[in-house]
Amino acid sequence: MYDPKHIRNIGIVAHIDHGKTTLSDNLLAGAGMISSELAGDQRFLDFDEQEQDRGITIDAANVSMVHKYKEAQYLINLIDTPGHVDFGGDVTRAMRAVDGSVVVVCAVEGIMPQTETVLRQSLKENVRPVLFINKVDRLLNELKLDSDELQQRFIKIIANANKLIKNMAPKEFKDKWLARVEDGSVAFGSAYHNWAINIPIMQKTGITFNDIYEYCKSDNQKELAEKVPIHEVLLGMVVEHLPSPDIAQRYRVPNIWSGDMESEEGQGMINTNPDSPLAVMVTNVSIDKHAGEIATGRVYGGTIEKGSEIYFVGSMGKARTQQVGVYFGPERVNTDKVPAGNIVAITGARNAVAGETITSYGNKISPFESIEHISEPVVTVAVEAKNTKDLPKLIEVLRQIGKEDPTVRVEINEETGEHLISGMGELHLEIIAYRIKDKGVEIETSEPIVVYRETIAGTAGPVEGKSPNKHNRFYLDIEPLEESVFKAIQEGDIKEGRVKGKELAAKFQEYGLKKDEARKVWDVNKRSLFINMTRGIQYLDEIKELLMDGFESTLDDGPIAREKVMGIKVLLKDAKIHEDAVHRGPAQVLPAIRKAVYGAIMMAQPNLLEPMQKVYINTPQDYMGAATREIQNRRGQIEDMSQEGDMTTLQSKVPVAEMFGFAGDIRSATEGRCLWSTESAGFERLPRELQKTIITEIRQRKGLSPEPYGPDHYLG
Amino acid sequence: MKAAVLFSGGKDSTMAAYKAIEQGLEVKYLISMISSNSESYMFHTSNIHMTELAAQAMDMPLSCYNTPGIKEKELDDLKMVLTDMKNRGVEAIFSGAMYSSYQKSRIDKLCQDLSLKSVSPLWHKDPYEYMMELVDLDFKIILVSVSAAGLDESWLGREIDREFLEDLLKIHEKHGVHMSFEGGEAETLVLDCPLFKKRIKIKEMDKVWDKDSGHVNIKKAVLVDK
Repeated sequence: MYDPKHIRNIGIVAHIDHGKTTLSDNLLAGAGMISSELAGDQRFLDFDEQEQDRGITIDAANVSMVHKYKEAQYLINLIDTPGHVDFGGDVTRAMRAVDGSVVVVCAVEGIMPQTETVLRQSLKENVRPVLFINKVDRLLNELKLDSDELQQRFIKIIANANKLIKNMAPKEFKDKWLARVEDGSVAFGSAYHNWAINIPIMQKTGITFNDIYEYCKSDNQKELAEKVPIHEVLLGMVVEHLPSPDIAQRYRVPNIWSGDMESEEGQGMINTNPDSPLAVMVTNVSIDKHAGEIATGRVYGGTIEKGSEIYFVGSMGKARTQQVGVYFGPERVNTDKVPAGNIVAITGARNAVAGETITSYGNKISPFESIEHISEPVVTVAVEAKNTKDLPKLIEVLRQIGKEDPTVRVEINEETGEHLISGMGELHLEIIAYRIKDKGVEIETSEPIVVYRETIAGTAGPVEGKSPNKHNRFYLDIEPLEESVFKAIQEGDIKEGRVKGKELAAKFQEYGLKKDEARKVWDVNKRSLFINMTRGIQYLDEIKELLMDGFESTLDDGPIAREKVMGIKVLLKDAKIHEDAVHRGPAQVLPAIRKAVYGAIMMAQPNLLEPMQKVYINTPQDYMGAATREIQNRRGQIEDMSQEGDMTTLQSKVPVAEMFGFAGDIRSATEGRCLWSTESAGFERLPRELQKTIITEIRQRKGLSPEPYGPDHYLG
Repeated sequence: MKAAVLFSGGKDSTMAAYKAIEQGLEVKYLISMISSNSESYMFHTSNIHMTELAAQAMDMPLSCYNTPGIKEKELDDLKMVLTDMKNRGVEAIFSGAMYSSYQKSRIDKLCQDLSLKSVSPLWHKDPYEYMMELVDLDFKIILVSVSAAGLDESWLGREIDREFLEDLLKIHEKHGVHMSFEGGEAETLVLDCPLFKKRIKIKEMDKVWDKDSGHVNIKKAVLVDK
């Protein structure tokens, strides 16, 4: 059971409502884990009451099942992930734990933008995808396609998916990972009606597309489900096409772990060796009412044992595992040890957070690369306890929530008692508020507040920043960061962090940075660069770290409205530094560099950016006008419109600030007859006529003077 | 042995004089370098005019010298002064340098050239213990300038006592301010100490603040009986 060759770690990913959870339930039912009658309706993986109410998946849930394929038993660990954009962080984390993904695409809607996002998340982690085209019965029964049209539709979806795979897959797998009908890495079916088919199964059973056509038409999908049950077909596809951990770790480990591959632990991970040093990456932390904190993670190297002392590499803490277990169906089953290649549930890993690297106590290993979150929190609410007696409990609950969901940012202010929670959208925050109440704390929440960004449109420099004692001076230029570099950082092609050596120079140049700058980048932070253009300045090396600390801290709260700064390029051109260490301590260097950057920003056409969301609406033709008006009333732009039968799909882009209350409004505008979803679309310049108003609004809310200070406040 | 003390009226040079006397030396002169550059690398400048009153309070002779305070050139001015001291029979020069090797190395070099003994009794003392020692010895010290992150206008004119040190410790932890303000992070004025026969009373002062640094101008001060 624990032999890596007979394990598959997989995730199921899709655009919202394309049928992930229904599929997962039916796979579980097929493997005998839950009642097959109930699967599909039961939404078994939607543990949370909220999830069942809303009919969407919020947490990534873990289950596993045993599947027999070609005379061998396979353990399949499955992570179901949410499709709603507000919960995108879960998808990213889940991808770190798995080696393969089943991409579910609705046959009616085809590849949707979020399909693209989840595919990207999957491929970025070197996780191989296979394709499942779902809801095929609806093509026949609702859209009345004939057999030819049906095949055309499939070809189109597969071609679109392959275009994306070709673009986004790692170089060496661009061809190998394409979804191919002929080899069975694409399956078709209906998760709801519990059947699926692919070419190898067609050849084996003799069932043709025409037969399927007949079964669906004659309302006899039940018989079809008996002949080609979905779990047989899909789990077969998983075992056949998705890699086992021992194969996947060979190419995945170098991508997610920056340590020395030749070291004992490096070799251990590459070879999925259960006897090598322990290396576990935590991908999720949840709180169990009885067992407390449960850290779920992937064992990449070594074996984790019950009752052993473990060490958290990032936070440098230690803990003792109370229990270690694997998932069996939806249950956690405790065992004595879990070896490399498996997904483990650890009880007793106190204070672990998602992204943490675990090794055995007394051992030293490099940490795993941090998990890149493609989307970032853009909406904040203030939370207060209704009753003063709940104050301490609220803090505890908030800390817990921050741990369980790393895409939530929690800022605790014990002095004012007003805590801030930031999340991906209004819905995300509503769910969190609900969870807090669920844990027995009555709270009041403020109106949601949008998170803005600051940037520049022009250039400035050289400006001079002086230390308070005037004995240290820094001269710098500032420019907007090249769009291509910005994008490369955003998409994770260039990793954020302080640059060591010159290894990234070629990469910076490839993305359009000038050669002399590319070689001298010191720091990549918040999609901004700090570049040292000076030569041979004495003592500069000794305050390098301080300068980067200062640079990074200015990006945390910018001069316009104390929002985060992004997309700037700071070039250090010259510096005068006191030769005596005691004259160039942090209390001198930090203010000097901060003032220089602030002053420069205020001279370079400072601008506020606002977060945008893509909004997709599916609605009958008759309501199209009303839906369009909803978008246009919210400063939204319609980007695309397409029609499929009676249904119209509207693609638009709307500022997050205007999206509050959208759920209710669109429901009434379309009399409930619409499906909609959103996706994060980054930041765009706030329209000129709104800049001043919004800046004043934010500043007053934060208790600052209504107008930002000019450059003179910082320079000279 | 006859000694002279490089004296600014601040806590460190006053303590240097205190230590010299404690060690049994005869302090013949207090030396004040009056720099016209307020950003001098060598010399304390804030309220340097107060040294006159302080010298009176201690009943010691004061020698004042003017210098333009230009980096490195100001050393020539100091050299002249020290030569003058040597000619008047001084054998040892005391200074209040603690961690600033910039100041100490230059003073040491000049003294060596002139075969004077250079003494820095505070050199590498633990800054926190040193501040406690000042408080315990009943030094009355106020801040007359601040230039460091975390030190705002409210610190100007504030007296160093136990509460002050507690607050400073917090700022030290948050911003890395030096615990005894080496590196020009603040300058001080001693209003009273065991060496003073009378104490200084400030009658009128104002505060000047610019961005992240500021100083106190003492406009009127007198000596009063202790």
